[in-house]
Amino acid sequence: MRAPGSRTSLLIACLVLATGTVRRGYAQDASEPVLIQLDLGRLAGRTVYAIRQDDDVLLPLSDFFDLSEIQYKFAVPGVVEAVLQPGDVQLRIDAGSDSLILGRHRVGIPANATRTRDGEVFFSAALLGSLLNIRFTIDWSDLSVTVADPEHLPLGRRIAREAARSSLAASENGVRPDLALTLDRHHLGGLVLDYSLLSPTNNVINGGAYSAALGMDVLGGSLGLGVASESNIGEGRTRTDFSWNGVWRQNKWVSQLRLGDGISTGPRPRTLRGFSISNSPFQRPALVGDVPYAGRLGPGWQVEAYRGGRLVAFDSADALGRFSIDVPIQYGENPVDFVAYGPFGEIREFNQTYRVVGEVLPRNQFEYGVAAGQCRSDACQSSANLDLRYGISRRWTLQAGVDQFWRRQATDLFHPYFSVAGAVANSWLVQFGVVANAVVRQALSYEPSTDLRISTEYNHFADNVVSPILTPGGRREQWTTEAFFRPISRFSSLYFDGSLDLIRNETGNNTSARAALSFQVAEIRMLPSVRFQRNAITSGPTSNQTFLGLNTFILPRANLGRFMSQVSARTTLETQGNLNVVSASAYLARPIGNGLRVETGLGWSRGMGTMFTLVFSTTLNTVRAYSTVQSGPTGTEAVNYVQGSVLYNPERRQVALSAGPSLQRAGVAGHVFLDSNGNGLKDIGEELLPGVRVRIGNISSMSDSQGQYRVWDQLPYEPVLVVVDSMTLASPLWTPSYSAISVELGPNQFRMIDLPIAPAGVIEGRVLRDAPTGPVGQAGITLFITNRRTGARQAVVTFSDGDFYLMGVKPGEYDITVPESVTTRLGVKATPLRFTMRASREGETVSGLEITLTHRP
Amino acid sequence: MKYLKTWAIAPLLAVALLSWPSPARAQLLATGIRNLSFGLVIPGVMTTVAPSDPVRSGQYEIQAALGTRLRLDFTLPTQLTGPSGASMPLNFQNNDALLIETGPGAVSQNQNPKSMKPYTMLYGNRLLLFLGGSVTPAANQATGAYANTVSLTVTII
Repeated sequence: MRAPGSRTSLLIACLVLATGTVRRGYAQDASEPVLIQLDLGRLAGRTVYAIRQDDDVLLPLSDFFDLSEIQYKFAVPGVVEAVLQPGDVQLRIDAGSDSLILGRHRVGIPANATRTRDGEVFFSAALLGSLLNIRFTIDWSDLSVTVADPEHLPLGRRIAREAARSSLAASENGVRPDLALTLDRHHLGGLVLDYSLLSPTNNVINGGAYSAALGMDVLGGSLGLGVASESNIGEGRTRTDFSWNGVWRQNKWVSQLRLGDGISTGPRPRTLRGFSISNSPFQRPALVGDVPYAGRLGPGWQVEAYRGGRLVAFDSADALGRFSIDVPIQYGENPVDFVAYGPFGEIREFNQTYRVVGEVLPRNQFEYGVAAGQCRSDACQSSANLDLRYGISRRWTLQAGVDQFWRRQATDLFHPYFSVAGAVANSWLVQFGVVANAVVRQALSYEPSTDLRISTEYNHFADNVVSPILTPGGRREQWTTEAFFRPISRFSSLYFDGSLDLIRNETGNNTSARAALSFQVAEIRMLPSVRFQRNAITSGPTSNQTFLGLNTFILPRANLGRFMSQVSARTTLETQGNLNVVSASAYLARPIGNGLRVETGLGWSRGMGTMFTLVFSTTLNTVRAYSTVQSGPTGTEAVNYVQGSVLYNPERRQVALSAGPSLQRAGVAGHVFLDSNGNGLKDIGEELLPGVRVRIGNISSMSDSQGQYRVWDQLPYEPVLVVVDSMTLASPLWTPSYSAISVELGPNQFRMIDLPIAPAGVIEGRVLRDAPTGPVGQAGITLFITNRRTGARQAVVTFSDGDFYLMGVKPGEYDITVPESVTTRLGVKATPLRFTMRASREGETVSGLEITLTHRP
Repeated sequence: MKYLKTWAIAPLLAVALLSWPSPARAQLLATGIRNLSFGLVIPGVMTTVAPSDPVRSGQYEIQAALGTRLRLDFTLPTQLTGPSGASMPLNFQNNDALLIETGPGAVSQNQNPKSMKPYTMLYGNRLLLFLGGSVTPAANQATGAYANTVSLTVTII
């Protein structure tokens, strides 16, 4: 939006141009009072007295401003003062003056551009159009004056807002599945294999490493068996992992059970071999709940909340000018842009944000987690933990529990803990936690908008613990502060961020600070920074080091020719003390085909010398591979790394490849077919449809020449929607038999779902109404077309001649009825009509359907 | 009606502080998976792709060890470039980034791609990052294919 000042200047420029035109038009003055119809497009209109002035018309300002919803008043008879929005631009028109005042400017107007009569001020439509950036159409043949583009007026903006709100209300229902497939638990099913291999070319045995993991669906859960080299292949040490995970998403008390290797529950996760049990969801829904965004505007104001450019809520200020909008919020950042509209078209814009940290639970939700088992690291022999969480309100969550470690070489550790996390209003985030024998943590964050964020966190560590596990050894205190500030919202790439870290150890104190600026000009982004490091050792000297750095990112420039226009670059430079260069590097990168990318460059650092690097990265649907060549003072080394998955589908006896990792993921596969007989099943001979897009969760796939589609990397256990993109169907008469299918997938396997496409047809007919001269077509009659088997209903409205036409009617038997509300209003009765839509590849047409409305006796 | 064929290319990865990935030594692996694609756009009509869009959103994948704290930093272009040097404004909204881990208990999180907050791997070793955006072609926008590159830098902190 332009600043008010610039808008005023533009208006004045337009006005001067218009004034010149009007002056020429008024050279032969002849005025007469007329009665005209004043219309603001199709939005509003009224009949008013006006004054004809040659081809122009002088409009009564009070009527025009009333219709347009522009705030105005008569300062004295013959003088109108109005406020133009947006920007609060003051307008003063004095019928007895040769100028008007617009904002801070006085603008000359022709003497006969204004008139006054009975206190009313009449003003030239041509000049008014220039002032308000609208266009008047004057038709003297039917005495009408019409604003062709009323959307620029407050009235037009208000009606557009109301339309958007109606649209919001209509869209809140979202896509609803008309078929739900619950989890199909198998005794044994599915098979996936994840693999990765690192192989240096000069020493595969002593430098290489591998991993492989097998996944299956066993008893409805995910069984995983893994083996990996713990260090280099040559050392022969391997690590094996096995686990079984079961998920029961509807069970209130036990929703997850893991046996074998895995991660503990609670806020300080660690790997252990044993079990874990929990009632927390396998994947937590993103939506936390509704949180009020409140503020103060003024009585009569309306405010709309937008997220991602989409209207999500709206409200009106109360008598005291306060507003409060409940906005559905999700985990993470919730920036909301507000647009407030005053009663006279004023517009204000501002934003607020609300951050939900991962520890917070929805209100009244209770979750627990228990885990115990053998430690998978040398730090402890075995470990257990209990974690309890409860959402006490929509902003606050309490958490408590205990972590226990049993050790051989040191005393056992017992850590009961308690924490609380939440928000004070929307801008302040508070976290406080105590872990006995470990740490007391306090964190505070202030984030009033997307342009400012300040957070600070203080940790006080216990000093009586030998070989601590949950905290860094020897650490006593740590205070970390981070800040982000964007001075001008419009320039999103310009911002400052910085951090300050104060650490007190047993052996001394460390201080590190960093301040950085980010700005971007066209394709070049630069991040200059300064870094300070201070190490004070109790028994030794203190060192202070200051570094200056500059990182740049250069996006491809279109004007550099065909090859170079796809090249991006990044550079780094860091100096110390008196601008002594410590390290520098420059790399160029370019895609060289579908999924293939090359990056090459030089890096230099003090003490290490110059290193040349060449990297080929390949990212395909089937495999992921990286080849690196590095050459420097110590020699040349090439390393290859490959990662992928093999997926076996026992139902089809097919093997597929994926870039992976695929363990504990799931997929959907099947055919898209034309359901010629309408039974919903893929029968022999039914046509398979290629080139149809199927959307599953957050991934999509096109069906191949055999009508097969396949999507992998879906979340198991949780429902995902399967939707056929009807825009990709070959015939506009075809329609998916199911608008959406909700499906729960088992782990490590494909679920087979064939998707029927109904060869729908067309119905044609008309609605007649008895009249003295015989039956006549009845316009605007709503008809319901109801499937007799499924109850699915469509509506159609008759045209002006009483005819109706509806495409996309799926095969089946239907009733056509006139809603009772219509027959009651018209005082008629109508006999329902029945028809059958047969399945036909080319689309069946049922015509001649006729409904007669007869008067009720 | 005139259509423009446009797309934006997301998958450019830049990985800092990387000890080259291996099952034993890997610290970080970042990969561009899917382009942010606006498809056909109509002159004068803004086209928006949400980060949750299953077809058109950009997608990155990051693999890092459990407990790793990451700084995610986008370098975002402000326009797409097309035939004969024509350009089309490209904009990213405050919640056009979506992060989700693949491990049990994970929760998807909205983020602002213009000021990403540090992220800690809490539910496993695999993080998916989705990116949305919007283009605003002018009413007289030249017909053709438009493209640009988005860069993501992932740093262990």
